Amino acid sequence: MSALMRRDPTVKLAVVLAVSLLLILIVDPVTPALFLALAIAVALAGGARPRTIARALVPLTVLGVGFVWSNAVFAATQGPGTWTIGPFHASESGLRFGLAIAIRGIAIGILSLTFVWSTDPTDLVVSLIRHVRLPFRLGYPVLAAYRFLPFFTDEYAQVRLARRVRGARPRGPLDRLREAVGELVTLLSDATRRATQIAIAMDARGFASATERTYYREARLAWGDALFIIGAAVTTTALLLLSEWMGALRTVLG
Amino acid sequence: MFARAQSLTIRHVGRKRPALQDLDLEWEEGERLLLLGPSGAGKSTFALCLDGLIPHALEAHWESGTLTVGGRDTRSASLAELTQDVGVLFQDPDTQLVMLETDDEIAFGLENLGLPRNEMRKRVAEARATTGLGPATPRRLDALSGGTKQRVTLASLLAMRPRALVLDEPTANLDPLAAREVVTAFAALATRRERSFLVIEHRLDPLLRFIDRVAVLGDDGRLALAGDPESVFMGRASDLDRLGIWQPELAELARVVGAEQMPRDVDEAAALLIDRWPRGAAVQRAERAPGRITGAAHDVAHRYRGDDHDAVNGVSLELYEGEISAIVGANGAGKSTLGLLLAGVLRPSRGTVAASDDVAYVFQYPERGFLATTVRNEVRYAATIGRRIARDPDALLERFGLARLADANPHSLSHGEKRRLSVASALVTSPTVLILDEPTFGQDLRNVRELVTILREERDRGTTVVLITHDLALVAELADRAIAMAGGAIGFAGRPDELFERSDLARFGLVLPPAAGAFARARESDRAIPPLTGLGAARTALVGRETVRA
Repeated sequence: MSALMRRDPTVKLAVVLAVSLLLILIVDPVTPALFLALAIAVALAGGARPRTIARALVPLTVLGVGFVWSNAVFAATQGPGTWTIGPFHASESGLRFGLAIAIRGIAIGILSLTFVWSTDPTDLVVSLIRHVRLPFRLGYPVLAAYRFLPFFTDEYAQVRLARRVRGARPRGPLDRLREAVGELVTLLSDATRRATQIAIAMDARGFASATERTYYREARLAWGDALFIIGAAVTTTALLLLSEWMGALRTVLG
Repeated sequence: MFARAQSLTIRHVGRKRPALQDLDLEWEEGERLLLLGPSGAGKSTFALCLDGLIPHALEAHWESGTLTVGGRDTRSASLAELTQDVGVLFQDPDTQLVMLETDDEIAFGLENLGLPRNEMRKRVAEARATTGLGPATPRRLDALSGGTKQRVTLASLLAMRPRALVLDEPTANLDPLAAREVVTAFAALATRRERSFLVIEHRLDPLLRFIDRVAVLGDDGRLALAGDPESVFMGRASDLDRLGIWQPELAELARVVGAEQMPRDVDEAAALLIDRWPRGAAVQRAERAPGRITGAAHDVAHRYRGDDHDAVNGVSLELYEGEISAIVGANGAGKSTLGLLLAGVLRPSRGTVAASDDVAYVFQYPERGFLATTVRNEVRYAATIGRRIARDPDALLERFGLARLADANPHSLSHGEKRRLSVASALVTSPTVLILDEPTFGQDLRNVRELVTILREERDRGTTVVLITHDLALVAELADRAIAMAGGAIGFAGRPDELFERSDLARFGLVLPPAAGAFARARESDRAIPPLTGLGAARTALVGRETVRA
């Protein structure tokens, strides 16, 4: 288990949220790129495999390219275009801004995923209950629902297969919509049945009558968590200073 | 006295008929009570009443009567007290696990009791030891088999140290090997007699040694009869039969050979056969001439997208008109994939499938394939997509006992009704090939008997029937041919009785049904005992002998 995995989930979540909020205030492309590099380094140090990171980067990058394209072209309709590509006019300022929010998006995405990769869901729920007073009657059902996510994709495939065997062959958009509704109804009725059964099983083990609940998992804040927060603050400041020194830093504040 | 129901009447919200009616039932301290009844008789409702979920957490109309558990009236006692006194193990392993990891799951109830962490650690270790969950048990629950999941839930109940355990069909969703795993865990607990047990089950044979008394609920939710296992299963068999309740195969076997005493396990039944089985009763086999070929697979393989191995690999097989074949094997052996390939739903990644274009497929969870909003339209659905309707849909609804539900939404039916509806809508086109995936899963005796009758009729009409199943008793009763799969390939194909004689059944995830097991065990010490596959075969053999004598 890496040092990152041992950190308290609530602390990690708070740090990721704080850095993400900070990045939203920044409008130049260089600063978020520095943070993206940091996020990837942290993910690697935290035990994520390079392949996993690469696979996450692909959809994020596709989304980012879309941002760059639309901003570059959109901005050009308002100001003077810098380049002309076929029927499109693109501007440099638009390109710069598009690049900034694209890289910012990718950086926030990798940061959040690093949190997900390095955090045990059970630890997260217990930590939130202990440290930020998340009601346990909310936290545990969410955990139980989380267990069902893989079942859900599996079941969706089964439902589609079963309907196809029965002869459901949607033609045209209206038909397709009707088919989608039918699939959803089937999935929902099954999900409702499961949810009811699991609620009964929880109550049968005293969940409904629990008052002073204790926790099997420890969720103690350690010195390492304090060091982690200090480290995050120092690194963030250092990156901002570096960007400023490079003359790249621009924020919404100007 | 641990629990006592006095003229207890409970009606579920939105139902006209009470689930339990004027129920008088006593459950002694330390008693191991078996509760039987047809589906819908209120067995599960009673389980929910015992641990106080009715009326404290679930809404239901408490129409009359009282229920005392551990000396407390359940209506005035608190839910916390009641759930601590009585633990309930439910049917579906996947909808009663709450956490993601084994130890967290076992500790879940203890957390609700507010125990300190040291005490929890002690009890988790204790419960793991009692249920045989050693250090090799995977930490993550999703890596566990169904049988082990049930043992984890059992451990989590035991950790709360209840005075009584209720097991509500704990093996109904499991394959034979997993069911045996759960029954073994129960047997270990029941032998120690440290608490009271109430068991609701329909695989009765493995329980016979561990049960003190049997109580039977009738269709109306009243107590129909009660007594010790021997007097109920040997003396009241015709009453049980009328109620459509599963009976122990071994008790039926004893009656077939005219014994008075009930064998309580396979060894006792084997001894009984050695003692009483008339030697020389000829085993007759109705040889069927194979009909026209209705479907074929040649060296077929299939791999699901994203998998690194073939689900089905190198399978060749022919299907014949008027024949019932059963595809058997462990979970993940490729049975359903082969069925879907034969139905032409999945495309082979290698090899060829010659499927008739007239195949009907009945899924294990029939509701996933429901397409209409009423039962009537569901049966007629084939017509709306331009297929030929070969049988009168209304007559089919009548035949399957669904006529009164014609206007209901298919999703609102009970499990048994959904299954019958899916078979009815498959038969409406009079398909050449009918494939059924786990048709007896979670069905009561009446439904299974009805299904057996219907499938025999279909065979006689010339339909090719393919069963995908774990249920060897059904295979013995119905199948002309058994096809056993392991690791995506066919490991055996032949007559069911030949399959039953193999020593490597476990390789296919199979366990001999009790009656067949008794014949096999008896044959080990007396070769004059024939290798019969079940009660049907035993009756046929004896009838054959009577005719010869006459």
